[in-house]
Amino acid sequence: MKKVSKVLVGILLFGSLFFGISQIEANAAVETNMTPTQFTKKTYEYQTITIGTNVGGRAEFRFNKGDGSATKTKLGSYSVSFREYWTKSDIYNYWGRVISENYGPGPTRYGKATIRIQ
Amino acid sequence: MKKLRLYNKKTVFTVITVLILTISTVSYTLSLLTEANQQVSQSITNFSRGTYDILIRPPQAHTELEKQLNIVENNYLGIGDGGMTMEDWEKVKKHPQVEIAAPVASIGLFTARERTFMLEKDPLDAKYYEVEYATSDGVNTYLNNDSSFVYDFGVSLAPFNVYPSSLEVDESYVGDYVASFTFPVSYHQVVAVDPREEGKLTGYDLTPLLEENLLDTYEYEDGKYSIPIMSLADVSVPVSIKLTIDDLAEPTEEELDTWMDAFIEGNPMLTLIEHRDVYHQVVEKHISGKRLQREKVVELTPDMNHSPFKQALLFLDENDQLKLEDRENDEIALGGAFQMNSQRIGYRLSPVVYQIDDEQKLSVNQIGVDEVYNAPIYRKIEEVEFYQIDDSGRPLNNEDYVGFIENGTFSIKENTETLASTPLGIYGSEQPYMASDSKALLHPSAVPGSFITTPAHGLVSIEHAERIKGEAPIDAIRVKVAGITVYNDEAESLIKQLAEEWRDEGFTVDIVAGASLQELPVEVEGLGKVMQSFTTLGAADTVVSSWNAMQLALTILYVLVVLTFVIYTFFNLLSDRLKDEQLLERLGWSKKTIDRLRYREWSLILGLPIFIVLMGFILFGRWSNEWLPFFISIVISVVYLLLFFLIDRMDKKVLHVVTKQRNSITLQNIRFYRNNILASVVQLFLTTFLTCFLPFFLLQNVSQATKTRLGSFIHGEIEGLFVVIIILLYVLSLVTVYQTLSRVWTLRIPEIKLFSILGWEKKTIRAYFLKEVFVWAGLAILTGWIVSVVVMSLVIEITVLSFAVGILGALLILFITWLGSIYTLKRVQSKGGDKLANRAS
Repeated sequence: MKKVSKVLVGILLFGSLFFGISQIEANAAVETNMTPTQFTKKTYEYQTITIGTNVGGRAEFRFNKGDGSATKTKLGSYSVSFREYWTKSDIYNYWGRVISENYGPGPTRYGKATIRIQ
Repeated sequence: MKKLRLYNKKTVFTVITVLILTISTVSYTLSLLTEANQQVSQSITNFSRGTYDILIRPPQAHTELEKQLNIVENNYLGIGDGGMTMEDWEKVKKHPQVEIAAPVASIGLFTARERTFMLEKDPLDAKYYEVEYATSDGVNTYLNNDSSFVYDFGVSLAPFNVYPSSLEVDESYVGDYVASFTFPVSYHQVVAVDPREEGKLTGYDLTPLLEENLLDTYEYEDGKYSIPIMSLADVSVPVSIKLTIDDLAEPTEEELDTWMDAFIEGNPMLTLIEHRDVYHQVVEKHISGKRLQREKVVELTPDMNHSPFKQALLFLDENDQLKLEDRENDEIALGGAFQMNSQRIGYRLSPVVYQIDDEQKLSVNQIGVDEVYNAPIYRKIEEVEFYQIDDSGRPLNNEDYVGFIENGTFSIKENTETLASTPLGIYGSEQPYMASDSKALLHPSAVPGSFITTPAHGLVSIEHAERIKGEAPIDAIRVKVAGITVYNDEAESLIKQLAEEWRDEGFTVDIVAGASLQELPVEVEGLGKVMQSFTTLGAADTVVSSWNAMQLALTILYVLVVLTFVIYTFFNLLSDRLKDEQLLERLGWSKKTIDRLRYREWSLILGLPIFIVLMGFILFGRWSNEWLPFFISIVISVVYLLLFFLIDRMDKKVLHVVTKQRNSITLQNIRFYRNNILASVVQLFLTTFLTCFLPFFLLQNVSQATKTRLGSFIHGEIEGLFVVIIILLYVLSLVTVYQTLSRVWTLRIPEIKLFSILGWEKKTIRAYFLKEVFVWAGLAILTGWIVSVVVMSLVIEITVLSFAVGILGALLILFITWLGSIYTLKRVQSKGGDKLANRAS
């Protein structure tokens, strides 16, 4: 009897812990994917960068060229593309991010753009 | 047996009526004066203290306007270079006699987050968009020089077939299903306050400024280094947008090739940035023709909820209305662009330089023109970079970052009922307006450099002031002195003592208790005459002194007129019975019996009115719980009784002495009847003085006091009382003159009879007597006028108008006296003279 109780308590504890952690992970599990994370282009040459996420529902996808210009946003689901060019030859740390409407913000992903003179 | 009476019933009834009237009106008027005085004191206590007592500013903080005119412009604390440290403030706050010490630190002019407004677009559609920006100061509209356009041919032919008018337009344009354009920036005054002290001073809940860890993913590092700001809810952003949308014909592949060939290296963006003219030529020559001229124009203005530091993205709803994104209410922008460093650059304004001419008229000169909107600039502005960034747009030092997260709004409209709320210096809601049209309200345009100092459009906590503004960021500390419940002499003395204490420490210290608004015309270059609000210092003093002076002047005149009237009436009544009493004495009546008879009659004449008035005021007191008129009527009754006894004793000694005839008959007659006409002479003198002096004295005092809103309020409350008192003054004076004339002519019936018997015509008899009236009344009126001119020259400024109106007033009184003389003389003639003359003939 005592053994059964211990097992039951163990199962309950494990279950509650498991589901609790799952819940936490669900909130914190917004991932930001960005492709490519590295490329080389000439100035004024367009590059498409796609930002995606693992969570469904409506999300805001943000992209910044890393050159001090404004951050662009688009509302979408799972992934959104931005088509950009750079005007000066340099190495830029561009970044992308997802803010899910249901699950909150995801991490910022950085990429490296090497821009050469045309 | 009937009791003997020396006064007939009619006389007794008339005198009793007149005495009831005078005792009651004098008592009630005096109580009203006292009451009005209390009302004014109450008003001053309630409204003049304002919300704080002392303004402490850095040394040499007085502007020219303050030095010369003792006024400051509305919202004058919104501008400043600082000068006091946080330690200075802490020291003032810890003073045992300080209840509130609320600091103000002007931070500068900032724009809200630079971001876009968007409209949804089918990615396959080819559309032309043109955006024109404008800003307004309420009267003039200024158009932005740059008109922005985008030719977006959609993605059907090429993945990104977009031709913007500039790099800036391109950086804001998201494309695909989002057509986005920059929402124009506008600059707004941000002021740092201490949320706790400011909350105590204003009653606003400013605790949202103290909130920490506010999350805003549009801010750098999600708002970790950002500052909470509360936005003024009562103002909107002064910009408008004209959006033109047109359909485009889809180009063929050949056309597209031709365009690419025309661009440098086949690259539109390269051509736009490095060969702008070529780009625009290509657009004009090849692309603009694709417009189908089916344009739709939409005028966009921010809605009423769009307060200055609302920072959400904007979008056009299905009704083409510009909306702020509000995801909680499912109002969503599908995309856009925003800048995280929007508050990196701000502006510091210098105070407006007011030109003050010899007549103390104000004007403001334009000092420049804004390059973008061609809007006038009226004051020096300094561009300030609050922190530095690297090439990628990240702050070099996170701790220096300045960015605002709007965390609530505050409203100043709800506090406009407090008359002295404006001197707080940053919440003045009075908008200047064109002098020619009071409905043409003015406000600053989107361009920094307006001559209007606005209320704070954004409030931040003082704890950020040092970081943004430097070591001595505080421009002013507004102090409310502890333990003051009533604004009286004691309170004033305590306030003065504290002010002196801080003045000794080197600060600029002003006592602002009693400050109130006044409007002044300001000639603004390029705009015209503008009515602008200024704050006067010490308005309560002005109101008190004006009211005291008026009260004193009226009380003295009123008491003199009433006393003259009463003395005159008593004197006449007692003189009238003197002959009868002498006759009774000759008939063997004892002096004691005669006196008893007199006192019995007077106990009725004087006692009945006193009794009626006292009973009346007791009833009034029970009904209204207002006992002051009752107490004053007791005093007045005692005064009347004393006057009676005094005149009774005097009257017996008065003898008409006939002197040698050295002067003309007219002067001899005047001299003979001097006791009878004395009261009229006094009343005419007082009435003339009242007519010539008091209106101008009142006008000057009232206009001086009503320049301020507080003064207007108080004078508006007590003007009715003045009218009542002045009417009573005139009535009593004119009744005295009328009575005098009637009595004198009655006394002179034998003379009139004699002249009639001698065959004088009515006209001649009238002219004979009127000549006398002209002499004594004229002299009294002339003296009254001269005295009024002398007093006026000493007390107030004499103008040609006051001089001329004074003469007219004096002539009018003389004319009324002349009319009264003719009327009374005719009555007497018709009573006695005519009958006798007829009988004689």
